[in-house]
Amino acid sequence: MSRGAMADGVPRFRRRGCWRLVLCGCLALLAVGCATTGSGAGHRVDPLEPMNRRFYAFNSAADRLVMTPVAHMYTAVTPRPLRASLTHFFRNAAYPDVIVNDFLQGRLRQGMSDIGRFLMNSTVGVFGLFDVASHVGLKAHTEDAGLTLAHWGVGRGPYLVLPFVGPDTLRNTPSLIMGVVTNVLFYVGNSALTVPLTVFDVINSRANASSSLRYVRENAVDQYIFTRDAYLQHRDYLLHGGHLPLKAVEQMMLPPQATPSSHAPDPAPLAARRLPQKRRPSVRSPWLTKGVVVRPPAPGG
Amino acid sequence: MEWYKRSGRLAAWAWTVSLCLVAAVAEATNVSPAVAVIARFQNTLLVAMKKGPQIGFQGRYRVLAPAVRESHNLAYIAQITVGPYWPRLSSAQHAAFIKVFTRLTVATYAAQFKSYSGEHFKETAAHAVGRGDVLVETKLVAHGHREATLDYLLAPSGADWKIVNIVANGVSDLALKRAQYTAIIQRKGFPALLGLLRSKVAQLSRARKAA
Repeated sequence: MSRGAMADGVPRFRRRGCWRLVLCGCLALLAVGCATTGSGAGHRVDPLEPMNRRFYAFNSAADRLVMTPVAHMYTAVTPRPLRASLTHFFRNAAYPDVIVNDFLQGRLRQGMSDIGRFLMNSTVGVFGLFDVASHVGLKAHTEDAGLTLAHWGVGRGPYLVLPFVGPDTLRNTPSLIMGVVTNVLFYVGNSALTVPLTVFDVINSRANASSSLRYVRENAVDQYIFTRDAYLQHRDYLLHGGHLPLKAVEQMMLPPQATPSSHAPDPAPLAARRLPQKRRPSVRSPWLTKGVVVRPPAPGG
Repeated sequence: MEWYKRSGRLAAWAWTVSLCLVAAVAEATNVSPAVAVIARFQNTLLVAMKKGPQIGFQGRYRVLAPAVRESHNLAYIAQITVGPYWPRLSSAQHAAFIKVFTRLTVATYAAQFKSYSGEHFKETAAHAVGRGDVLVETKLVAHGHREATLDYLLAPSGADWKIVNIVANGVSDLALKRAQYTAIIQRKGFPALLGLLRSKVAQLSRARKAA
């Protein structure tokens, strides 16, 4: 599952018109394949699971019936270099969202680098069709309003599956609006241009997510849980700037979660070396120092 | 006198640098066997990818099975994935679960690493974490300079090091499996999970035979 596929799973709304909502929803379906939490204690992060499962089933069916055939057809008729250029173009058009959130998080150096990246790709890269900035060391970052709120200490809130949108959290919902108003295409104002571009954006993003979605279908024994946990873990990972939180690594191998049944016996130690009796707090962990209310990763995640 | 002070400072610096060097060497000594395990395993993955289209799914399975068994602590990973239910299972169920989990792990690798188009692995860092484990951070660099982060957590197993968790782009494989498996056991019971995993292996095998 690629980081890019997940990051791009957020739909871009356009001004006026229900069709935009539908298209954006379809785009969000691609994110269905990429969500997760690291928590066996699903009820804690997912109190709305019954409703979320219904929306997940709806999104999956809509994707299977509409977007999958469209994406296959699109992939068959467009050469790979063209798809790559379109992907660069749409990412570049949406990149001001990253820049704004860089500064909102106080990442001044990263913000300046991202301004340079955006300007270079918009000019030398021909409206973003070519990612020349990466070749000169201006690498792409992933930031959005949800990550900014997390940076400010806002708790994640419940996990959500939104119809036509896919996996999300309450904290992340402002990203849906902010992603729209910071998108360059939002200000074009010519529907003869924005309509086909929006359609291409949706279809191209869905096509890019095909391998991730196929991976989920082939490997998950419970696609809903797989998607939810992958999404939430990946968001935590992005929150740490694409670095694995060491505390999460250490907690992966801690004793099993609480027994799900009150009649169940306490889990026996699996191995003395691996399952210490006392959980050590990690002083190295950024999880504990940012004031962010984050669910501790589940054992194993 | 000034010369004496300067010499003292120099000696202190030299002592500090020596200590750092010794620590670095110790660190390198500590993690290098774990790094070697990952390097061997990833080399085998590349071999399977390069031969992938010719030898098909079953061929890749045969190439990868010994490498996976050698580099992964599958019995331990299997144990963790069912969490609190493990102690409640019988020895026969333990054996059955480890067997099907091993087949599923190899089948997943054989299904995913099926062809080669210039990909390569690069190690980015390795350091000790937790209670004597080692985290080896690598990247899979694909065509077009796209990168996926693959972090391996290894733990000592006898005289060797073995993988106990893989984290891809921040997503822990062990956590995903654990969340799914425990939920299925809770809802449907252990035999249902065993059946699901067997059918997954069969699906992967069927879907990729032509590949």
